Amino acid sequence: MSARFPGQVVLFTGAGNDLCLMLAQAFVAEGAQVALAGSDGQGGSAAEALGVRHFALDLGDGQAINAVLRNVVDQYSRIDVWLHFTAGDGALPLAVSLDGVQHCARAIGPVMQRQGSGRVIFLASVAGLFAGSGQAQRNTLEAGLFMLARSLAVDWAPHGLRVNAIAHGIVQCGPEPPDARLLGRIPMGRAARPQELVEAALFLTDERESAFVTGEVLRVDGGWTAYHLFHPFDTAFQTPHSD
Amino acid sequence: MTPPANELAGRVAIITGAGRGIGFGIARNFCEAGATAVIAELDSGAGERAAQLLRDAGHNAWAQRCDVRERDSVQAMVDAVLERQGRIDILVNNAGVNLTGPTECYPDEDWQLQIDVMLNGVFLCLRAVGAVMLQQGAGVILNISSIGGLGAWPQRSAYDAAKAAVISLTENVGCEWARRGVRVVSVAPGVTRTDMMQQLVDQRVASLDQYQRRAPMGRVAEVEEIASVARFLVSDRASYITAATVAVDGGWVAWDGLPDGLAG
Repeated sequence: MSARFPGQVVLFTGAGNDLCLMLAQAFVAEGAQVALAGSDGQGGSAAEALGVRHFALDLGDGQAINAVLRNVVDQYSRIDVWLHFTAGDGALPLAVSLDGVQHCARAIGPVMQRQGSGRVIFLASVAGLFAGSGQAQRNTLEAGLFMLARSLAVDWAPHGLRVNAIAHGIVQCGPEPPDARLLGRIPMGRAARPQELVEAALFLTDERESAFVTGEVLRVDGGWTAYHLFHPFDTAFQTPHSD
Repeated sequence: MTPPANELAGRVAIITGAGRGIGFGIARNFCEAGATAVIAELDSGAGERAAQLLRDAGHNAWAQRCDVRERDSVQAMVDAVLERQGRIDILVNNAGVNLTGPTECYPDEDWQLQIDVMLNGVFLCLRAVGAVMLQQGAGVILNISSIGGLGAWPQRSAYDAAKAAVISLTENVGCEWARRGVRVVSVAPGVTRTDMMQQLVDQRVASLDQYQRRAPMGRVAEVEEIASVARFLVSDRASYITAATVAVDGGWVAWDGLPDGLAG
């Protein structure tokens, strides 16, 4: 079985959480050169453990973003894939964080356009598709990322680039099970396994699989956003009447 | 991590309307991943030819005549598959027909045909095969919708209404069966290079050039580009995706369609 992305340069921004690291690992396993750009701390030590480069990136500092991304391009001479995570932005005000991602886009877009190829994936929460109570700030940020993905998809399609987003629900990365009340809301009745997000990201990256998919928000949510009935998920209709 | 070339090995997939077009492309793709394809076709000649083509390429495939509009025909097809294969792992509700015309004088029979094939037919197959899959405790149903189900294409009211209904059906049944091992998903292809597209071009409903310019990617889809997404969605790699529709449209529905610099 050959690697899916041999030698390709994959840049992660907003990097640092467990899911991000699992994704980075998956791309390394598929032959990619991975660069993690995020705040210092967790991201840095994790990058070291994976044997990939880490770049300190503050999404709140537009000028610094340009310098960091120039540095990335200097090191690798290209960027084939850009993955951005909203997780890790929590410390930044909404507008600053979204602005930071747009700064990244303005720096990365021309690089990919010169290459005539590139794929971009934003990982954001289903909170951007419907409103969690008391979470206006977060809902708006996540929704903003989905629309940014769609907008960039439209703008960059003529240059041969694809931009998509993944809307994920709850992902269980560690041994701690998520809050049972949350799981009760999900039609599948369980959290996503990290590998299920990894597979979706690999799929959206792979030109042999998703070449005509762009501007799409792929829901990897166990049915969460399709379900509009009561909380918790109604068990009354799970068994056929004939049983 | 690489999707195994034989990731559908041993799986039995029914694809309706697989004698040609997107359905045939999906059948071929699934066969290449190791599946056995059942070509469920109204046109038995086209079904047999498609199955033979796949067998000639070394795949497992056979054809079964099926009129998805008829409950008995659907049940007979399902029974035949169970008798021969013993199980059903994948159902692709693909059969479709596209008849355009002004709505104010739209013929009853054109409306009825499209609703019968693309809504009632999807339901009849989904119900009959779904019952088998629930018994097995596993299975995936993939419904072929359309970008027409996500927005308006004037003079295609029946087609688009059926395709929108398919998205709703996907969401409803996907949730209903989510804890019972059966996933229900949908793809909404953009304009795809098939006989159906060529018919619309020949009828001057639209030109290929118009279609190409409307998609941000500047082209129409090839059948294989729809089939590869179908394959991902029915594979175990998509095990957390259900009740969801994936547009495969080169950015069509993401874009408002206005030229650069004109903002709504």
